[in-house]
Amino acid sequence: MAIQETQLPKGNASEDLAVEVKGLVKKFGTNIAVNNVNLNVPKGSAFGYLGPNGAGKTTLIRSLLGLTQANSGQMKILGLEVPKHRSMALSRVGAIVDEPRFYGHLSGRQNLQMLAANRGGDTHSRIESSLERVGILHRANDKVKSYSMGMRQRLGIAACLIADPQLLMLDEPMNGLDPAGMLEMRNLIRGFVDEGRTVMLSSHLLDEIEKTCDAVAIVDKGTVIKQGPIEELLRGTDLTLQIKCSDPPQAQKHILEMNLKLLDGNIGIDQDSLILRFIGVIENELIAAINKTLVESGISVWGLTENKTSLEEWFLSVTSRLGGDDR
Amino acid sequence: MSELTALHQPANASDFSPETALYRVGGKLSFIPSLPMIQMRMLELRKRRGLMFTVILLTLGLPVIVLGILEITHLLKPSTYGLPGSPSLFAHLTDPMSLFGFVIGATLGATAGSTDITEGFFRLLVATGRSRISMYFSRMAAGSAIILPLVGLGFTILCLVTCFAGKPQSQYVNVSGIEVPINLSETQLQTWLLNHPNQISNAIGQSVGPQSVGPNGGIIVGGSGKHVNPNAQLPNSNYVNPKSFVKSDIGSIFSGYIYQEVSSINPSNFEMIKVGLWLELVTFMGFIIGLSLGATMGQRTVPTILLLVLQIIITPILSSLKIPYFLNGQRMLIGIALTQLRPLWTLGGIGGGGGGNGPRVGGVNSLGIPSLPTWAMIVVILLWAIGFTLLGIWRMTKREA
Repeated sequence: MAIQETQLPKGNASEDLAVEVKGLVKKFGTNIAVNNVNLNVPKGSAFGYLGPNGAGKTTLIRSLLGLTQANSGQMKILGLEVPKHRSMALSRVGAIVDEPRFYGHLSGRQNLQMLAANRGGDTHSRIESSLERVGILHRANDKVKSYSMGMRQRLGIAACLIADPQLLMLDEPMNGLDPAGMLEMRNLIRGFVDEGRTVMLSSHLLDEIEKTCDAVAIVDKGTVIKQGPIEELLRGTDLTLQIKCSDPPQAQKHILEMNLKLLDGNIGIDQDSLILRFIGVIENELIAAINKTLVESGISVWGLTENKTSLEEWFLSVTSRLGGDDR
Repeated sequence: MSELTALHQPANASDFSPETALYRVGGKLSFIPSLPMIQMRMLELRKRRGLMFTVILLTLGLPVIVLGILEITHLLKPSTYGLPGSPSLFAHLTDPMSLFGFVIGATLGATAGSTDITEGFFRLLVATGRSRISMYFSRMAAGSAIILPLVGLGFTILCLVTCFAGKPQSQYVNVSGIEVPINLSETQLQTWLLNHPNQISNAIGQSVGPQSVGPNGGIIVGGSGKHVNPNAQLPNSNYVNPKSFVKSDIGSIFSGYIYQEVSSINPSNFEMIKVGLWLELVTFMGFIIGLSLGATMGQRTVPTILLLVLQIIITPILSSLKIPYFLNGQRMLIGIALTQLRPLWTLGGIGGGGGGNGPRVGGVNSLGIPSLPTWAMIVVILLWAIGFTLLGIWRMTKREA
């Protein structure tokens, strides 16, 4: 089909964003599910959309895919405005929303054939390779109602892959998977990223997001609280040094005399341990200096343990779940 | 808000641009579904064994089972049980076939319209970017492609048995003792009767009692001594003129003629085609209304029950009950409009009376209310078809997936 250039929408190809959302609002009656969300998902990354249940993660993905209509805001997928150019944008998007649900009375292959028929083009030719990649080719002719939850998740991924997606939107893809399945899914997602695809991963499993994603957005009550590369977000968070020693009160006195800047008075005793809480990153040399000071003061040091703030702790600290102040 | 930059450059995945997207999107923007979409929707429906069993049973199974039993009994005891094919059986079978056609059409439609919603597959389909309208039309095409051939096949079997496994056909029908050739229109019947006044005289005489031939071929009717005079004018005469009698009563004579013809003579090929098309229309209407209600309500149980109640309870009541000031409302019912369009050689087509401008036979006679002209019936049917299709499309495009 010959397409005149004037018919083509102006794509924002110069941007490096797979998803761009500005001021998105979605209400259900008086309940605001998505509240003025701004989101930038960089191309070629695994991006975690992290939030507690009911935070509006799925609603955002549904709005992006045109499954529900947003009240206001602007959205772009792969540089194309949606819903204006939704059909074109979604031609290179694979998505699982909530749990992947298929026709139980059809086989896995037939379900994919149905989706391929809807997508058109050469998607049909990718069915076998997609099934093989997610490891369910041997069960492709079985009815989906005989599939386990994990197999349905894999079939959902295969349904995304038939589109040869530039962007995958996976909503809670780890749900129902056992530890081995989660590891496999994680590797699969990393594999997609290595191929240059973008994966937008919505989840409430912080550990999985931390292990899988490069960047993350924290959402709560429909609002994006923070977003950025995980390393960057965790920089500036607390680091705890636990010192097991023979005389913690005496050790505390000596360390206070060192007048450490990053310590900022965060020091305490827990049974036979001294707990130092630092703000930001501390150098190994500082830890060695502390050790040396204590030993030279005649205090026996039995162990030094460094505890970095995990994404989970950070998440809890920035979301309203911590303390339950407004729930 | 943190500004993020691309963390990785695309490696193997092909580059994306609006131009390639437009190429890849193919016919997605079109409202017309692609052939694979229709085929896959057909597959999805065909794989529902319970539904398909019911559809086949009520469309194809009904004539096959009934005619099969009649044929077997005939083969076992030909002296007692005649050949299965007969005009009356044809009429008696088309009646339930039309009712079952509507009901099973509605059931299939409600299923086609709602299962991807109830099973959660709808959002996967929508997420492909395909036009929702084309998805709706793919359901319509797929469901029609399943049920209409089945109805057609069942009816074809009935036609074949009627034509080839019945008694030899007479070329005449007996109307009040007169042997009249078959397949005459009202005008042709009138012409034929006017050319056979003696047979009419005999018939009239037989119908009114003792008679004798009077002057100029007139007939003395009954015991009152009145004469049927060919040149006399009714009613101010003791004589009944056969020609005047035919001209004045041709409507009721034709009704009787048709009644005899339908009861004793197989329908012509043309009449069979008309009945077949009517059956298909009834089934198709049930299907598209069911499809629309299924898509609107997002389930199949309630639409199916609603349409069953409409067709089996409400329509018969409103087609037999004259409600003052609501006649036009009654006529707007799809069941009534379809009944009015019933061709001859269906059970409802037999009877007397009725209104309209056409022959005083056909579906209009099974109604207890004054009928509408044919064009008005067609308009009512079109309104139902278009209205419900628009409703289904509107709901489908607005539905949250």
